[in-house]
Amino acid sequence: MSEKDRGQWGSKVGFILAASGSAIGLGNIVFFSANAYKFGGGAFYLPYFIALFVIGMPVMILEFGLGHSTRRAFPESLHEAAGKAGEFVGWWALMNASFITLYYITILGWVVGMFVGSFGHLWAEAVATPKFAMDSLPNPHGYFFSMLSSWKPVVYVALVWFLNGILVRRGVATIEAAVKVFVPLMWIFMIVLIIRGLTLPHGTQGLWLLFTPNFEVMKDPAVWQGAFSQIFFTLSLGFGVMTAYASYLPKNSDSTNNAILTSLMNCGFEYIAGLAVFSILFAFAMVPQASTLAMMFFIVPKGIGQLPGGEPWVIAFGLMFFLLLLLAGLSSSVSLVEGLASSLIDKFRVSRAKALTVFCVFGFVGSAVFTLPQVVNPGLENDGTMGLTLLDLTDHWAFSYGLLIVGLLECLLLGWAFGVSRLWRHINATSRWHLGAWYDALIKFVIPALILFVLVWAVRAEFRDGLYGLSYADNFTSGFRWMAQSPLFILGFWLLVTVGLAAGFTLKGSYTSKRGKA
Amino acid sequence: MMRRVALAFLLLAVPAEAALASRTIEVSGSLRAGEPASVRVLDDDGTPLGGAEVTAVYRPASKVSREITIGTTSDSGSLAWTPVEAGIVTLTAAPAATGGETPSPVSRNLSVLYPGIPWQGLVVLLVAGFILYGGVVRGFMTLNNPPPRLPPDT
Repeated sequence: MSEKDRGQWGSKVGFILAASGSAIGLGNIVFFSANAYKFGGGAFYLPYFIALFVIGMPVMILEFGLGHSTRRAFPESLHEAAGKAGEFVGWWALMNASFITLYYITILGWVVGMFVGSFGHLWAEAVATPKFAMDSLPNPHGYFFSMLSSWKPVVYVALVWFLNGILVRRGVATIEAAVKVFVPLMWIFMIVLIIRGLTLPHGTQGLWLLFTPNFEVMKDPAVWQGAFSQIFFTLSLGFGVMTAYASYLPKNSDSTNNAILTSLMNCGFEYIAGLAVFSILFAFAMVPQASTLAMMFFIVPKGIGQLPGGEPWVIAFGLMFFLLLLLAGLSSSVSLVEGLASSLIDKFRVSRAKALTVFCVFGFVGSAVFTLPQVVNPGLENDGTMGLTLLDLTDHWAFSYGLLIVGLLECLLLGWAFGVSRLWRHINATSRWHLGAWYDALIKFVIPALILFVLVWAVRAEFRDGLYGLSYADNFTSGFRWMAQSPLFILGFWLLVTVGLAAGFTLKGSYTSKRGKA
Repeated sequence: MMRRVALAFLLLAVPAEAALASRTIEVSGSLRAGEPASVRVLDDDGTPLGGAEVTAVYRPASKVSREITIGTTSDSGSLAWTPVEAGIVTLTAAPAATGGETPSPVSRNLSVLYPGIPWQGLVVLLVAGFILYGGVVRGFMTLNNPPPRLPPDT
């Protein structure tokens, strides 16, 4: 396939908007604030900022440089760098990213539902919830769980998959056109939310809560672990998306500048999102939970519901908040869909329309599983419905572990098997900022060591705490219980499917024969 | 992107809040770190609740929360309290057991103000903002200006 057939970004600004739009997602708006609060606000921000430079930017440069030098999607790029083993890691990363895409789009479906609710029902005092142990629940909990225990989210999920299909139908051309509207709108909406938050009584005090360092709390290694994993997740590293996007860049693109710019835009957006959310938290004395969903669907909407000025303002800000989430989510989900589509097209030479149709149809079915409305937990001690429980468990493995494992393998393959100096020499040829031997040390030693530290810390906590308050030892000694056994069942399913599919895609066909090089 | 979804979902907090709504905690004073304030606990019918043990949890529901027992309310239901740090605080009043029965506690979230502008917070805010947005501006300025020795865009 020629470079022309593959497509190319229409402009460098378009590429930066797309890459930053991919990185800026639901997590930037709500999870950053939830995580920052969880680790002490100001005690979190400094380690997070250090992590941006130590781990975030270097891995971003690595992924951009890989895509730019090979001009191929993630699996083929890694194939060129490290042979079949590299290709397998690339496909496994994409399979893991596909799992995440499935439930990410389900969450976007719920965002659509909350957007619909923002026209009125969401702001009522309470909603009847007869399927749960409580006859009614105060909003926004009531509206959210009443929606989840119905089949409406299936329709919303179908809509979001349809939108994704439309936005990726002509590859980077349609993605670029969409992000040129979405990303500026996201910034405008967020700035309006900041102004509203900071002008609330004592809203500015939220700034000090977020930024005032607490050196005593910073001595806790858990704070650093949280900050380093946050930076990895927020920049969309380990998805293979950045490599796919960079493969569509012109040959003389400055990979270092692009990576730094994308990273700074992402963290700049998180900076202002933190200002908006912390000002609301402080003004209304709200205690957030370290959960994206709780922050997105309960805490911030609850704050919006208390805004002064009457119902019209509440409705207006509610609509704007959920539209902001939808735009941020779509600009990320299209990159995930494109990451897989471009890889399938590169290897199997299928048409874009065929690759997208297959992925969107299977994707819709997968996302619909996470909307299953059967109530499995009427007392709402944990997740409530079957779909939400499955989503929670899948996220636990695919997101918390999958991405970090990909990042680790990527650094090891490119650092040791391929030789990172070959990559930075290529990057330096078209960049203003030159990389050197220090970059070798970062990719080969420092970053793998940091990722290993985060992973070991997470596994340690896993064995100590288990999930849903049940340790894994209890899982084996107390007989079969759905909530106790399901984490391990989902772990097995996730590993089996992702490893199996990755192996299948790696072994089926070859890049050289498809291109007639052999 | 997002991460870690629903664990610790604050779901139980909803019915719990409703159940605890009968007793109340009132706080008067500036509610500023380091400055004295007065806490008053009232029973269901609005009468002062004496003998209730009051605790303050700083940074509640975080990995780095800190719980401090303030003391026990007097017969008038009052207690002096000087918040030791600014931020979000949960006050909980646990009424004394009566007749072998332990009444349910009452909680309230409060925002304790900073005594002034914390200079360390201001420095982090400004430096981080300068680096992030200064870097973005610099990056965009050089975006379409490749190094001079490079061939034109392909």
